[in-house]
Amino acid sequence: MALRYSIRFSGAGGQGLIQAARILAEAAAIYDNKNAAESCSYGPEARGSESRAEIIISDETIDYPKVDTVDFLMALTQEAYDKYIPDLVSNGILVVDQNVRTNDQATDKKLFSVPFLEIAESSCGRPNMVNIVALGFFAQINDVTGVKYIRQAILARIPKKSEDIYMKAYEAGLEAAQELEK
Amino acid sequence: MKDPLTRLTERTAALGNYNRKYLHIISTNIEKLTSALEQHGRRESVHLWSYSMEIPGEMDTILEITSDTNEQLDFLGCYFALQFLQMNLRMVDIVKLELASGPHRWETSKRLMLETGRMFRNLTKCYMERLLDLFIDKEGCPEYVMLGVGTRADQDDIDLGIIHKEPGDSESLNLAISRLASQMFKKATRLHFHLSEHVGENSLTATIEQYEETLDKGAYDFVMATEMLGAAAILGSYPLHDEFQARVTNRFYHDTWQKENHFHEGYLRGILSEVRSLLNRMKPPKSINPKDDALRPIKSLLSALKLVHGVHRSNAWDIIDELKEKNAVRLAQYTDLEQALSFFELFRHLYQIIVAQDEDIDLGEPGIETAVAELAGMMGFQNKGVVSAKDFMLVNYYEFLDESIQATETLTGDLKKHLREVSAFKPIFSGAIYRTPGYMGNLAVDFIRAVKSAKGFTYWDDFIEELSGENSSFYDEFISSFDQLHERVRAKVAQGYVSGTRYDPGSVLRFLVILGEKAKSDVAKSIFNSVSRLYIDELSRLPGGPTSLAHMLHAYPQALNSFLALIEWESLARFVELAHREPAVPEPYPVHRQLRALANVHYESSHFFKRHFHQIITKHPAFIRNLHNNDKLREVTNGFFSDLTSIPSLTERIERLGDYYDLEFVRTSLLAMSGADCERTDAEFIEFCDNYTHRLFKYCQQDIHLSLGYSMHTRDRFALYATGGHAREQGFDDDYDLIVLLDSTDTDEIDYCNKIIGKMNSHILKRGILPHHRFADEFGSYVIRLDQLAEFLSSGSEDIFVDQSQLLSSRMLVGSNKLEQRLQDEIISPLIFARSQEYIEYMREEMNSRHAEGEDQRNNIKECPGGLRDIEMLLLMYEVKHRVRDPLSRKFLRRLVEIEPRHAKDFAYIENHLNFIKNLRDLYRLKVAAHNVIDKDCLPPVAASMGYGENTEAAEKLYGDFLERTAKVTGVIDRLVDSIRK
Repeated sequence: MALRYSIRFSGAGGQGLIQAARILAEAAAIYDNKNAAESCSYGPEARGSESRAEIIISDETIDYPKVDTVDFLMALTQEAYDKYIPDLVSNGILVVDQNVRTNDQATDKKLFSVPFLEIAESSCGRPNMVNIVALGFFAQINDVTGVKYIRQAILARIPKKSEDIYMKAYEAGLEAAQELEK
Repeated sequence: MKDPLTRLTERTAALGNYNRKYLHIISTNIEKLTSALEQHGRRESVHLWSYSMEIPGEMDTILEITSDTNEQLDFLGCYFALQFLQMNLRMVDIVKLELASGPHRWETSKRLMLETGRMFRNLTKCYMERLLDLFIDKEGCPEYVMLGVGTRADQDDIDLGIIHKEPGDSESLNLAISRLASQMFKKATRLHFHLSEHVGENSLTATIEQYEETLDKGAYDFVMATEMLGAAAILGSYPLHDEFQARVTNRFYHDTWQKENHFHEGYLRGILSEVRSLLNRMKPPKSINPKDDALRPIKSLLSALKLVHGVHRSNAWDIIDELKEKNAVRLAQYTDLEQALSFFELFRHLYQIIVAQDEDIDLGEPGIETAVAELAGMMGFQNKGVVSAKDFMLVNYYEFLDESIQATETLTGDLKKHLREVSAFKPIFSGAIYRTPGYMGNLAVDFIRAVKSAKGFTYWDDFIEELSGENSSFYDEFISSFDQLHERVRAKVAQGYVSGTRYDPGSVLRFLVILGEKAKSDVAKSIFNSVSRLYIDELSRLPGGPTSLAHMLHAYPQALNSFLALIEWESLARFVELAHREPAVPEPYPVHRQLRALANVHYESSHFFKRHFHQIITKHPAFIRNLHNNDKLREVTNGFFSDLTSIPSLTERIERLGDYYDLEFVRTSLLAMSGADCERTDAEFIEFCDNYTHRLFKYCQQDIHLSLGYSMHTRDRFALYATGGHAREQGFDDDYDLIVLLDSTDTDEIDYCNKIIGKMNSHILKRGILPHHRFADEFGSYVIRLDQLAEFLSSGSEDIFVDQSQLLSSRMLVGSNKLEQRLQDEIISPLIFARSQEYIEYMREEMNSRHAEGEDQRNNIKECPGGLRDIEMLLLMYEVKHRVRDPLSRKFLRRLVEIEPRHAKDFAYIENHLNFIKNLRDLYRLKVAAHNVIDKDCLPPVAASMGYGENTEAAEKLYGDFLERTAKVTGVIDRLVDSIRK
């Protein structure tokens, strides 16, 4: 059966979620040779610090790039969780920041609660690398596209000489997921 | 010899990492493409390794060499990637060449950017046309036009709006565009369809009728409107674009006949709000962001101005050119914008090509500094002496930014005036509407209809200005119309007022502050409270959490402070809770601390403290930004004090001296509330009070001199003393006991000095402090003579020990040592020390009678047994006993250890206790109320500052300690008093 996987990254402005979505989509489309579509919030709500990005990854041509329900939801703020949890399918993967309080709606989901900010700070001393840690986490718990493709896409998105620090954050995300999966 | 791909790879190393993806596409397909071209004998017809001037023809050639669609897509994508990289490499070479002679050639920057945009558009247009040819089913395809709605030279993504016309198979068109987007994403550049996604039912295209319907329903926002207004046809049916302009975008233009300016007004409100938000936004200290710093405000402004002046262009430079002609009075401002636009566009573009496609440029990130230095070199900046090219460029960055901000402010001023003229509120503001026969409107509802006319249109300054006008008729009409609404409607309307919070919380905040500040009636207060509650609900739902509040504090410190001062206790508690939530993004941490400090100040401080706080924050709102940093505050206040002498106007100097007092009062209070040692806060409090009094006397003396036209030299015969709490070096009193001595019987001199003290009193009163002159009532003059004092103290009055105590504990602030010596020799020694036994007995008696009041005084920190009064009296008795005259402070207790070492333990115990109850008293005054009688239910915030913890048990423990300590110290004091009397 053909793959069509819908992903939503949601949180606050400044968490780098739009960049993360772009990297993920590029990893799938350019390096993994799948099809991908990506869209993000641009309206005035984005001025209110909301941040949302959606990615569809598919083996086949994406005829309809809009996302109604999602297979994977990453919610890094409480507001994002409250707003988007109804769109996550049963048995879908839910990744939340550890400060997010989940409710009954999360019970039929595969839930991961992760201290992204702490990991970003401890791995590379950069709290603004939350998005890269999150990508590492995504790559490890999900086989929709390969760990190496996401790594390639990250390296193609960042300034030169910052590779080490980004890779530390990415590896920390991978390790955090491995720990939780044990 | 290196092969072409290796050479290209090496050359591309000069560009940013994101070019790797194009190299990946090339390396995956180049062999097949070259081989296919060779097989068909067309290798020489296509420029693979150099920039081509024949892109459309070469793309067609590539399509001809294979009929396999997948191969066609791969080959076209490979060709696109080759041309894209070579285009950028060429651009870099041209920039280096053209700007080598100097950086200040903005005309060159403009030309280069226009050329770059043209090259990129040409390349992408050719590519997209051919992809669509492959994907579109031409038979059923409706007429359509593809519009570019974003920045033309932006390579990171292409913002599109696609319009189709019925009839035709729009579904198949959407499918084709979807495939186009997918190919573009894989091989070229992302396509974004923000506009189309929000209009109509298809995901990627919409009809003009659907656009019209979206506008009619108000289901659009200013971001969508801006995209529509900036649309330029890329490919497809150009007549359809003309029709779109005529039927859709023209609605936003100013209708000079004033028939229909609804959309025009709404858009201006959205843009004014957007520009203000961008200019006020919090800028991280180490980052620059050319898009948000400059390009977005400039382009937003131009998008609004073109509607006012009837400019139908889409390119920013073209708009400026036409505006220069149509609005020549602002030529200077347009020129500034043009120069800034050219600088920032080129800077951003080069950064994106050679570093990364990020908007935020964090100069502290690894690698960025070197990259930015390289960029500076490309832009023609050079190292000069110790100043690097990078620093020169950054200085230019901020100079262009300042110039563009100044121009933006002038032009937004024009827009605001224009808005007032075209606004549907004009007849309401002028009052004309109420004179219209048959007018049945309701101002509160009219306002909400306008607010909700479209999403995110939140500029309401004109309305707020009317509300805040000195003549309250508009405000009263607003309140009365709101009050007349049915309860259910009222709730909806109130909710409507706060609906813009998610787009621009600052505008709603400013509206609420006016609503609250002018609320005098119960009805108005109740409306303010209910809307404020809803506003806080909205704030709690803001996705940025406390970060959004911190942004608000950054942009509107005074308004936020006023709002917190106006809201009910429950709302304040909720706000504090919101401010203390963990931020999702670490970036604005310092502002979070400021926010929390401000919220705490409002939530956990007494009216006594707030009185000074509001006084100073109203005048110096920037002070709010340092509430969390006492050292920084001290620097500011020291600066204030040092700067006084440089103020030429005496009136202004006295005013600023008052500000110094208030600032220092707030600073030392915050220090105390943060848990600092009370000996330190007392010392710092008294230091600034003394500075204030000393300087105030001097300025008032100058003032009297100026008003009388002469001065009198009383220097050796005048002294101003503090007595009471200030003399005891005790901070946070709300009164100021003073004694003024003059050794003169000359009535002119007495009158002269009374005038100075009268002036001082009026200024001290402005600080909310009551100046008390202990002997003024007795003698009918602030100024008293030594002989009057001697006579008064010899009178044998029953309460004379109170006056003796005042004199004994006094501390000279201004005056001569000569007079101080005479006070000692003629008053203190013969009339107090010589009557020590009598004095001590009076004091003992007074102590006993106070203690006899028992339970009534138990919670009175000052008067209870073991309270501050007992300690003060004990020290006075010791002063009399040992004939010393020291301030009744901790220092005197330490001196007593030396004088009477056998009681050293008791003195140490008393000092420890004094610190405890003094700390309790200060914190109670600052956090609860300026009362001496403590209410144990109000102790939790005090207990928290004293390190007891933050729960009820902590407060209980503090209260228990207070009772226990005062009981114990009473015994110690009794024992010491007995020893004094022996």
